[in-house]
Amino acid sequence: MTTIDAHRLWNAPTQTAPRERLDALHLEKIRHLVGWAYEHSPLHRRIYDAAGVKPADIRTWDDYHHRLPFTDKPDYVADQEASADGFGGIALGPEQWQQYFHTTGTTGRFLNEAFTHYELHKAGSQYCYGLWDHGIRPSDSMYFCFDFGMWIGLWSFYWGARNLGLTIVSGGGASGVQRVRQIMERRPTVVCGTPTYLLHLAEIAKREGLDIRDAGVRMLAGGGEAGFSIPATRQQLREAWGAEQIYDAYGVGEALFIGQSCNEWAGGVHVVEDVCHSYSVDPASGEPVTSSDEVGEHVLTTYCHFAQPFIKYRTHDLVRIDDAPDHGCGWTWKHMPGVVLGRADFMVTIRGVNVYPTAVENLVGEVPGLSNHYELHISRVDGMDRMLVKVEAGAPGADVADLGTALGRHLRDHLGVRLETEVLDTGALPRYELKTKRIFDSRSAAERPVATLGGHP
Amino acid sequence: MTATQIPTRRSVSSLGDVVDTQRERLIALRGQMLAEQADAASPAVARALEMADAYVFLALGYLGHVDELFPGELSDPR
Ligand SMILES: [Zn+2]
Repeated sequence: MTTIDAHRLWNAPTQTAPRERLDALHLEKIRHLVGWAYEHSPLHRRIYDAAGVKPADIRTWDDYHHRLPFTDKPDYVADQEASADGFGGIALGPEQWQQYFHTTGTTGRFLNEAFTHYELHKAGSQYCYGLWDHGIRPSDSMYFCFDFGMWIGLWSFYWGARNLGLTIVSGGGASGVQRVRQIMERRPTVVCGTPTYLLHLAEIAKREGLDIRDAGVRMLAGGGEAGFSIPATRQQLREAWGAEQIYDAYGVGEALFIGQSCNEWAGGVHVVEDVCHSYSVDPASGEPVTSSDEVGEHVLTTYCHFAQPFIKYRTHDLVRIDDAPDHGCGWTWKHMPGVVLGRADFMVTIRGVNVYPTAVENLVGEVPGLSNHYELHISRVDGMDRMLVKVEAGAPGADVADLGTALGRHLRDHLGVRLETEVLDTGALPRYELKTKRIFDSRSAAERPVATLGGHP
Repeated sequence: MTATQIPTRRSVSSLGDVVDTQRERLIALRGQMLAEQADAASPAVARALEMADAYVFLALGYLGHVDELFPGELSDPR
């Protein structure tokens, strides 16, 4: 193993622990958590009773993988709708809650979430591992671009900044121009936002006759979109802001999972194993994926959420998990190369080839002359999946027909199938401030890939 | 929490002597803080100690503490 100065890491005792020790800690915590949920969450008791499982039955990894039922968002939504207080899967009452949130609802209905003070702090601690590894210290500062609404992603980042001891600068309630000016004036070490919005701010600065690079921002951080893991977007951000570091985090809001990139980046994020257990399964059979080359559905148990436990929770995110990463950072924690490769629900099969939206996003970024504004439209025509890739040209007056041909060829060369392409003039696609909507799936539920893992009603 | 059906053990979570002994010391410190919280002279003191406990519990988590899931779990009234 690489020799690493212990204080270069946020928490070397666990961050560099051998796999067997980590797995022993996980199993201990999971068994305890299953007992807690069974005793205190009516939803979990119903699910476990229906599967004929008692907490004492979960003793080994085989029990966890094969006996304990999966949980899924619809379980919580159904429980939420049936409950008097509007929350699902609750194990601790409202007198213990400190803050409410809800999911952003990109896949349907909002899920209400309740957190205690400790849970928010614990969730925030996840960011410290990655930020510390990138050399961020308590003397640094972080600027938040957004209005603090009900989205846990932003708030957990805020708790992470507090936990690490950063000076916080809130850009809430400000216009884009005001934010640019605040950033120029305050000169924060880190600016937090989505990739699309950060590029948008750089454009605003230019229109105002300002160069955002003069703010001396060292790191751009955030999440909510794939951009921070797409090489072309990372490069664009680096150039537009003159930033040295681009920081990626992958989150599953309701389960409070945050994967963090290490300083070596290595094209992905580490699972923060102090706060959760992650593994992946074949979405069709539910069997654990054992090879680090194979793509599976990410399944999660969080140690940050007890008021509303999430145990063996299906994220529907497709990932690869390397449980013995060795890229020089010193972390022994699992690594997800490519971060989220796609959504199990958005998986598209075109003439027998599985096409992951993230793969398409990466390829779009490689075609010279195209912008980073694109949309993927998935549909089903005559029983066949189709994907239309719409991209804006990088500059006004470009030859969109030529660019369309180049894009179509590049996609076919790398994916092995032909997708439909449409290159548009600059500014033709909508802009979003929070999560940018890029994938539009018009297939009905029945037409999407079947991925039921069974085990509970 | 008396109702949990899972017995807890400490040995499996060993992360080395230095880490384990610091964890033991913090568990003892926490015990003292909780006693002070129970005897607090005012709600203000009780709440301040409750928040301090959340921070100490974070430290325990970093050191591989597995006996409790979160502060207050064992004093849950139900
Ligand atoms: Zn790493």
